[in-house]
Amino acid sequence: MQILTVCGAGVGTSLMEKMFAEQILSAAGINATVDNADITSATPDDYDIVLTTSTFADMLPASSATIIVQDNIMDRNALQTKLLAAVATVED
Amino acid sequence: MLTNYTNLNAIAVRQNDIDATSVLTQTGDLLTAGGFADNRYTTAILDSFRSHGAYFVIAPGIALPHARPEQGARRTGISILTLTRPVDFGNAANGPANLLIGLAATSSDDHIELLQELVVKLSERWRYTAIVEATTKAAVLHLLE
Repeated sequence: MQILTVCGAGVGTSLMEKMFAEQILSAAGINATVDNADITSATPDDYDIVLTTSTFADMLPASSATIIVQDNIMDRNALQTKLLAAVATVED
Repeated sequence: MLTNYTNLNAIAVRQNDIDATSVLTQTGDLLTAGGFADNRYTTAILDSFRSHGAYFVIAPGIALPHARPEQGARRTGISILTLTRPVDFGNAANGPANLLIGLAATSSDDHIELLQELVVKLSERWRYTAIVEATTKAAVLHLLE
């Protein structure tokens, strides 16, 4: 499973999202690679799931990836719920 | 240690400013004062705000303004600006912010440990409140230990 996190500069928000996603997936025993990128270099079609905030969800190029929007980066419970639901969909 | 990534020159507390551009400028200038960035970095933070809006409000009350490493970051670290009144940057989901943490990173992944510690500390809501209410820079630094 390939997951991409996206933000504006590629060094703050998307890195935090990547950190949390890796922790959540590892705790759930899911084998996945998580990359992060800034909006100008993001290639969602190369990934199963894209995790971002509402600002960048609207700017992403069209793709077949499942898009997860999470604005409160520090709300791990909400992120976990959304991420695991998306993973289940992709695995089906 | 989070305290290795900031210093008293990079902290300002209980500012009364209510203008979004002005508080972002202050946050960037504190990074410069602390030795973490040059002047271009503040301009880059403001440019990012203009082009991408307020996504840097990462949680209710908490903003993490930053730019890219090549836009003037000198040393990986953070500045801290607390406000007496929250400023609305236009982030509908997370609302206004009264704690601004300027982030400078010299590469795209050398600051994972810093972000990790920052998030662990700030997800303790009591600590966020105590930082925002602290009246001295030294007290803010102490709360990050």
